Amino acid sequence: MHFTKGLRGLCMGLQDLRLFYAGQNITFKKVAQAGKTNYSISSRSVSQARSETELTTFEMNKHSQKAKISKAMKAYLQRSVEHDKFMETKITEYEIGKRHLANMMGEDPQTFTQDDINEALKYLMPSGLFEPKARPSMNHPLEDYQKMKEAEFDELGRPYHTLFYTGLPKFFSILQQISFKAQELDSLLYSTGNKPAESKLLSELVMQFRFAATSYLDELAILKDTVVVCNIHGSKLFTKEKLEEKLLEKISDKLYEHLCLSFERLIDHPYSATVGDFIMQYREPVTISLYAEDIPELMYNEKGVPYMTATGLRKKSKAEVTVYGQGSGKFTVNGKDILYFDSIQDREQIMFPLQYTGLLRSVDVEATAEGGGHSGQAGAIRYAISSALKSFVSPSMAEKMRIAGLLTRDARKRERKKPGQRRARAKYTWKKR
Amino acid sequence: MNSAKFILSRSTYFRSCLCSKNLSSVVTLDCLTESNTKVPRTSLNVPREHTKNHIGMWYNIEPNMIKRLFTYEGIAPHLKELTEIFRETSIMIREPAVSVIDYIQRSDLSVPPNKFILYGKHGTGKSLSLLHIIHHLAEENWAIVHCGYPVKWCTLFKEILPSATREGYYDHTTDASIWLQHFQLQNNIILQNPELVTMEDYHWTQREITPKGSPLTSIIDFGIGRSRYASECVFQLLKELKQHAQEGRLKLAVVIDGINSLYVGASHYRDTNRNFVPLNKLTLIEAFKPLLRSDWKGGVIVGSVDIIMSTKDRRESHLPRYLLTREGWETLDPFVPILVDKYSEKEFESAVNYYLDRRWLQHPAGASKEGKEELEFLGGGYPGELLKLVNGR
Repeated sequence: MHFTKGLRGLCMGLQDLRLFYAGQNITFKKVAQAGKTNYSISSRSVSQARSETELTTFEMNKHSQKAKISKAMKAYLQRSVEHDKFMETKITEYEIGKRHLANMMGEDPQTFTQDDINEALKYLMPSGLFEPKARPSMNHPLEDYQKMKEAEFDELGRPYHTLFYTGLPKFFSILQQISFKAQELDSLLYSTGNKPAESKLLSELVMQFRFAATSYLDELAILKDTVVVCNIHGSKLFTKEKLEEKLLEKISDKLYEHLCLSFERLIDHPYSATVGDFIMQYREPVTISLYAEDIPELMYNEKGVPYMTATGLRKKSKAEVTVYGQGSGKFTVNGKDILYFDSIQDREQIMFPLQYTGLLRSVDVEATAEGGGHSGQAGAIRYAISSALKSFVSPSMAEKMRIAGLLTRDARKRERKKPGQRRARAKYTWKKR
Repeated sequence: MNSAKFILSRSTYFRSCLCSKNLSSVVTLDCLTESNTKVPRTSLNVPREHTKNHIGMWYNIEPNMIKRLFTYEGIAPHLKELTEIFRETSIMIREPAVSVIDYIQRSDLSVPPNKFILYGKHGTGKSLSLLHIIHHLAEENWAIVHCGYPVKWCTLFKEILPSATREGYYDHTTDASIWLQHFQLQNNIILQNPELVTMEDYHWTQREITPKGSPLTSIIDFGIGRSRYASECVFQLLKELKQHAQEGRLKLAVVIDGINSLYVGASHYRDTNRNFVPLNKLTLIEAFKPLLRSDWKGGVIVGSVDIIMSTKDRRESHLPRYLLTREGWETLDPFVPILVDKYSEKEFESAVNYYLDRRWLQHPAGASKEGKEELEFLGGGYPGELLKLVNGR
C-alpha cells in the first residue's frame, strides 16, 4: 500500500501545481518499475502552463502514452486536493491567530506553545460553561479535523483489499483472522493425540475455569503439560471507539459485540497461548491507578493509638473524618451518633467501607460533615472513611476497595434547571391549546 | 474480584409485615459466622424477684394481667399488634426498671413520695420500662393512677367543651370517661376496699349529688355515665385518692409516661377567640398536677420524659431540666433521674435472638455474627431503631 502514501506525498508536493492546474484535464499514471514509482502527467494544455520550470521537475510526458484513470480515483484525487487545500488554509489561519494571540499576551510568537494558547484563551475569554467542549478553544487543525482516509483502490479503480466490498475490510479481516487462528488451534489440539470428545471436554472445562486454570488443571495431569491458555490478565480488548480510530472504520455495536465474542472464544481455546501475540495485538493494559505512594502512613497519637484523617466530598457536602484503630465500632458525626442520619440508606452508605474491609467492630470513626443534604453528607463521609481506611488495610485490600469504587470520588452533581422546562429533565405539561 | 462480595439486595421498600428483608450483608451467605441464637428467658414472672442477674432476660406477663392493666392505654398500638403476632407479651428485664422496682420496694411511705423520672433518647425503652414497673406495682397491690399518653389529651382529643363546673376551664368528655374506665379496670381489686369512701359531698348538678361517705366507685361510675362531668370526676377522684393515701388507706402510685407533655405547649383546641387553650386551663391535665407535688405522703411517682412528648420547638435535648421546663422542674423537684440508655452488648444480642426466635427477623444473615454487627451499627444499638430495622413498624 505504499503507492497510496507515495501518491499522497506527491499530491502534497504538487500543491502549487494543482492550484495552478485546477479545472484542467490532468491525468496521472502509475508506472511501477522494480519497486520505484513514477508518475506521468499529461495534459493538453500543459504546454500553455505558465510555470514550465516546475513541471519539468516531475518528468512531464516522459512516458507519452495516454494513461487511463478510473472515475473513482479521479474523485479521490479531487477530494484529496480539496482536503489539503482546506487544511492548509486552516493551518495558516491557525498560525496567524497564534501570532496575534502571542502579541496580545506580550509573548514571543516563536516560543508560543499550545499550552500558552489555552491559557491565553482562558484569560481573554473566560467561560462559565460546564461542558469543557463548549468553552472557547483553539487547537491545531490537524487535531480538530478528521484525517482523510487513504485511497483503497488503484488508479484503475480496483480495490487493494479482498474484503473491500464488505464495506469494512479491516474489521472483517480481523474476524477472518480469528477464524483462521481458531482452525489452526483446533488442528493442533487434534494432532496432539487427544480424541475430539476429550478435547471438547477440555475446551469446555478451560472455558469454565479460565481464571483458575492452573489449579484446576492439576486434575487433568495428562493434559497439563500441553495445555497453555493465553494469559490475558491485566488487559482488555480495545474499546469500540479506540478500534474505530485505529481502523478508520465505523463499526456498529452489534459487530463490535460479535468481535468481542469471537475473541473470547479464541482465548478460551486450550492452546490459545500459541496465538497470544495476535490476541494481545488488539488488547490494551488495564491501568492500575492505586500506587503504594498514594497510601499515606498511619499516624499515632500520644497514647500510641493509630489514626488517619481524610477528607471526602460528594455533591455539595464536605466531610472530615478521623479513623482510630484499636476501637470498638463507635461512630460519631458532628457530635451525634449514627442517628444523625434518619434514613437507613445513609447509614448503610457509611457502614459499607467499614463492613467491606471487615473493620466494623475494630475502628472508631469521628466525622464532621457540612454543606449539602443528608445523602451528600453520608456519601462524603463514606468516601472519607474509605480514604482513611486504605492506610489500615493491606495493599491488596486497598486495591479491592478501589475496584469496588470506594476510593473514587463520585463526581455527579446537581443538574441545572433548563429554561422552558419544569426541572432539569422534566418538561411542562403539553397542552393542545 | 473472585468472590462475589457485594451487598445483598436490600428491599426496604418491599416491606412485608411478617418477615424482615431489611438486612444487607457484605458477605455472601455461605461465609457467615454462626453465633449464639438462644434467647435468655426467665420463668420468674413476678417483677419483685427480678435482680441485676436477670438483666437481658425476657419474662412473660400473663394475658390476664395485660388485659387488666393495658386494655385502654399503656402499650403503643404497634407494640400491641406485635404482642398479638408473637402470641405473648414478653419484656426484656433491663437495668432502669430493676433499679426503680428496687427503689419502690425500699421506699418509706411515711414521707413525701419518691419521684423517679426515666429519661433518655427517644427509642431507648422508657415506656417499656414503665410497663415493667406498672406490672410490679399491680402485683404489689398499689393503687395505680396511670396515664399512658397524655399528649393525646392535648392534640388528639375527641371532644373538649367549656367546663360546666369551673369558670374559664375546659373539660374533656369522652377522653375523661375512657380514662375513668381505664382506672377502674386497673384498680378493680383495690376499689373493693370498703374504707375508700368520699370525704365530702359532690354537687355535680342540682339533682346529681354524690354524698359524703359513698364509695369512690360511685364517682367513677357517675363520670363514666355522665361524660360531660367526667373531667371534674377525675379531678375530684384524684384529690380523694391523694387524701386516702395521705391517711394510709392505700399505696398510691402515679405513673405518667411523658410527664413533660403536661407542662409544654398548648392544646390544639381553640376557644371562642380562636386562641389555643393553654394546658393549665384543661381540667383533665390540671387534675394530675397536684399528685406530682411533694405535699402528700404514702405514694410514689414514676414518670418519663421524652422529646416527642414535647412540642416540635422543644426537642433539642433529652435531659429532664430542658424537657420539663421551669414549671415541671419546680413541681417535681426533688426527683431521682433514671437514665435509660441504648442496649448493652448483651442486651442487644438477646433482643436480636428474641426476634429470631419469634421468626420476626427472618433474613438468613440475621443469625450470624456479621448480621448482628450490621444491625447494631445501622440502629446505633437503640431498641427502637432495632425494631424498625427488623420491620417492627
